[in-house]
Amino acid sequence: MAAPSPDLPVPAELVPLADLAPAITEISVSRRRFLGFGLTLLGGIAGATALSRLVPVFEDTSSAPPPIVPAYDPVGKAWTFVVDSASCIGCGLCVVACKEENAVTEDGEFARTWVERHAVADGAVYVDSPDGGMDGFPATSTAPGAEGKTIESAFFEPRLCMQCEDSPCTSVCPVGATYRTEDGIILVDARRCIGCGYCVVACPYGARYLTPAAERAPNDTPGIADKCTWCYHRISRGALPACVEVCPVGARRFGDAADPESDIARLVRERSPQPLYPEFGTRPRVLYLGPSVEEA
Amino acid sequence: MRAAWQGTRRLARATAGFWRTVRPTSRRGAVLGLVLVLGGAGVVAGALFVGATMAWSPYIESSIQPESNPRAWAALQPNYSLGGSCTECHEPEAAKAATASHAGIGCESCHGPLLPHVESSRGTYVATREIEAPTDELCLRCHTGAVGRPDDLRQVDPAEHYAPVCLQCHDPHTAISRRPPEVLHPLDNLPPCATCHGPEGFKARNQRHPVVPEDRCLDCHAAGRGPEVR
Amino acid sequence: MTISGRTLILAGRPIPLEPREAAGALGREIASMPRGLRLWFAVLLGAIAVAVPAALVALPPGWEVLGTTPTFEWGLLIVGYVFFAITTSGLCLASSLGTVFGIERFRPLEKRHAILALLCLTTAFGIIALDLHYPIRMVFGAVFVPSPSSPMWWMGVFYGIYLCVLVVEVWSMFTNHPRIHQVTCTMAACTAIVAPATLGAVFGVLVARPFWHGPFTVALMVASAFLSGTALLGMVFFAVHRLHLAGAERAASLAIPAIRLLLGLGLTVVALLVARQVLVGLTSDLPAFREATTLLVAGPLAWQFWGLRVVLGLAVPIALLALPATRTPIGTGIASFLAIAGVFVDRMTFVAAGQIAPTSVAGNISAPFAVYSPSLVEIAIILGAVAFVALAYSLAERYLDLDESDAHAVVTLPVPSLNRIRALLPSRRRVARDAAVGVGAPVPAPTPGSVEGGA
Repeated sequence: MAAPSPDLPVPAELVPLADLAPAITEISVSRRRFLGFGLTLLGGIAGATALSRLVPVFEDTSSAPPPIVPAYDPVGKAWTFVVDSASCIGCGLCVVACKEENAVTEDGEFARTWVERHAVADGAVYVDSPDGGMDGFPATSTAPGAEGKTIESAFFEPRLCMQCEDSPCTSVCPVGATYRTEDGIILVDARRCIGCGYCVVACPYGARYLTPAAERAPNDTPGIADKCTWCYHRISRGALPACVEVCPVGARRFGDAADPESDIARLVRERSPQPLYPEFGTRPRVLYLGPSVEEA
Repeated sequence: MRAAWQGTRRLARATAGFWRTVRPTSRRGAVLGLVLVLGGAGVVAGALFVGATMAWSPYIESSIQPESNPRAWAALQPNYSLGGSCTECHEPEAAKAATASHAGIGCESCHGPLLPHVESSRGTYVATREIEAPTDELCLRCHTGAVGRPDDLRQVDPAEHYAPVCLQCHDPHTAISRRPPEVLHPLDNLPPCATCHGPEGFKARNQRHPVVPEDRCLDCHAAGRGPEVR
Repeated sequence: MTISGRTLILAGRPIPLEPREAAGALGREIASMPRGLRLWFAVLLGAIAVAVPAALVALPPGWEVLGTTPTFEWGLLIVGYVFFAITTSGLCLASSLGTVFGIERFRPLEKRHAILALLCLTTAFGIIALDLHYPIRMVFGAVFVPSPSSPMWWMGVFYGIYLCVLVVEVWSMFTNHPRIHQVTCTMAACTAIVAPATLGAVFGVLVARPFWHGPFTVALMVASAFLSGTALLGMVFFAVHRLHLAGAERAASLAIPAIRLLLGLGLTVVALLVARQVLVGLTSDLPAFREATTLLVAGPLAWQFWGLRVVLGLAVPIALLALPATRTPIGTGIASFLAIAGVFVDRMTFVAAGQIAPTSVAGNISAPFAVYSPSLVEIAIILGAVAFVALAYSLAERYLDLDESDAHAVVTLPVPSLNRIRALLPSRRRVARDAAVGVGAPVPAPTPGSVEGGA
């Protein structure tokens, strides 16, 4: 923008656009340039279309393989996960198995499942989880402030997505990218997630994170929300989640509680495991046994 | 009604007036205008198409086909076996492991994801995918003493324990040490152990045994940890 | 805007279109600026020059350049977004006093409110677009697939409407469409309450974060909006008065005393709400709420909270407004600056305190609380955003016609065409110059027979 300078004429009246029409028609365009313009335009559209094919969000899912598990009927399933914090020994094999099974990043900060160690000393609870327990636990608590303190009691607490029935994450998502399936598992659609982080701060259990980069579809988009799926690809094939599969001490149990004769249904009936932090009112579907819930 | 009619007429007159102002006055101007209009429409349509296919379609697709994304999740390829495959080929090892104190621990807890191994042997019973041997790091995940572990779990301090390679002395499929012959000599009034059991010479101790102070022998060998002295 | 030959006429000023002539005109213009103004523009352009590469680095997805962690997912960019968004609403709340409620003393500077609001809102949208990892998806996803259970979706709806209303409002103001202006002002005032309330609800619905949870968050957000909007106006009024810009007389005699009153009101309400939050938090039954509040008042956030927020952001401005010795335009100006800086710090401590008590300790944490330190990119973006608002506003102040025509007058006769009004007006620049040197108040130019003075 410039100030009016004396050598430029300032028109007293504004010139309506209509008066400029003859001036516009006088602009000459050579036929060749004209043809070039049209070709550039067409090329641009074609190029943009081709480019859009390369963008992962545009992957055509209709060409995805037909359902591998045609027999799986999600309706009527009551998948239940029970964690026994009394028998967990903090080996961290579940964390490793989860990362291997789900192509979760190696960075210990990002974990779909992790193990915490709760140590009581001088009446205070010190919680540590070095790299999510990925490499096991050192002899003493690494929690800040716990050094040199005599630990009175301690236990390990495996954590994962609680697949809540009143899930805050699904209700706050502005674009409906995270949702609950018919069998109650909460999943994230990588192509719809905008990466706002609202679900991450909304989760009372800290089960979510914005992934730096998952290596495999469907969560292969960096910067979108990611979380435990209870190994949806395994349970829909009738197998156990990877963390349950590898736990050497049976601290993680999984099954369909809809069948009253199943082990998990019996376990729930006989030992009445409790959810963690029921005060948040999200009705978690991971239930805990042992010191995790006994002290609270 | 009348007002509406008048309104329509006024609109028509205004439209005609607008047309008069923009009407091309030459052939070249007409062609240019036509191309501008068509080209503009093409650009808008292209932008809409690209935008819609890039960002819009997942939303539309998920509204029309809500099961498409769960299906994509379910179609992921597992790495850990889906249960019950190992004993098909490894019957003796499985039977042996079932009697050990490690009984009940799944094969993949220590051997890692085995589905690629299983898949590579399908039909031929000859696996082309090797399994890595577990390392000491794996054993120590459970057997290092750490706050919070139950007392009845065998725990060692790697700094104190005879450390080089766990599997040289311990068989995880039986989970007991390979026991040396029982020592049947009295403990009273003996010369220092190293007199006979020094690094070399008569009744030399195992070459892999760590160097420890003379007076610490009985810390392990009389306490039920490692080869016992009677 | 018209084109005549090789010259573009914008707001009555000819701008040469020939590159060499344009450069020459630009050089002459820069040479004609006072030195202070040149320095001011240079500083702002410098800040923007730093921020532009930062913004390019942070272009979506841009997830790796932010200092946020899984335990602390909302960082400085969210703070910046919230700050600019609520400031927009606050500007309209204060601005609506003039047009909607007919409080005469707010009339003279209405164009300035509207321009600032529009600038703040576009800046807020720019920041949130940099913070989101896939903002384009939001445009499609939120528009075509509504998620009515999400407060964030509603926030998008209200701020989207707000942007449209503001654009129309500013347009109607500069093109003299009084009736449209009246309607859009009323709509903007309504949206200005609903939008920050929804923004408060974005935080308020989160059960997982007891520090944010609850209806008082909504109240705090609306009160903060009012405070920051009023404070920004206070700064502008002070600048107008001090630099003798158009409308300086009315700013000094009417607007600054009014701002003093409104600012005092806003500061008091916000102080009460902050005190309530701390007291309730310290005595709460919820461990996470207690922990967060303790960390806020006696933990790593304490110096921000007590030093910046309570003392500099609340106590000093209240004192400046209350003490007779500082009841001057400059006292009000300083109080406004401190108050708006306090609101920014308040948004920062608010966002931090909500997340400082971690919901899990996955990964290593180096302290018993979640730690977040903004990356240089984030800081540069926020500084650049502030500089952008200041620069764009300064340009508008210098080159646009901010002198008030009686745009909000009640019209009894058919709206005259723009050109007719312009033809009747004396040169606006002369009026502005007269006003600047205090020759006469910039009364609206008489347009006999066509417009009747309203209200």
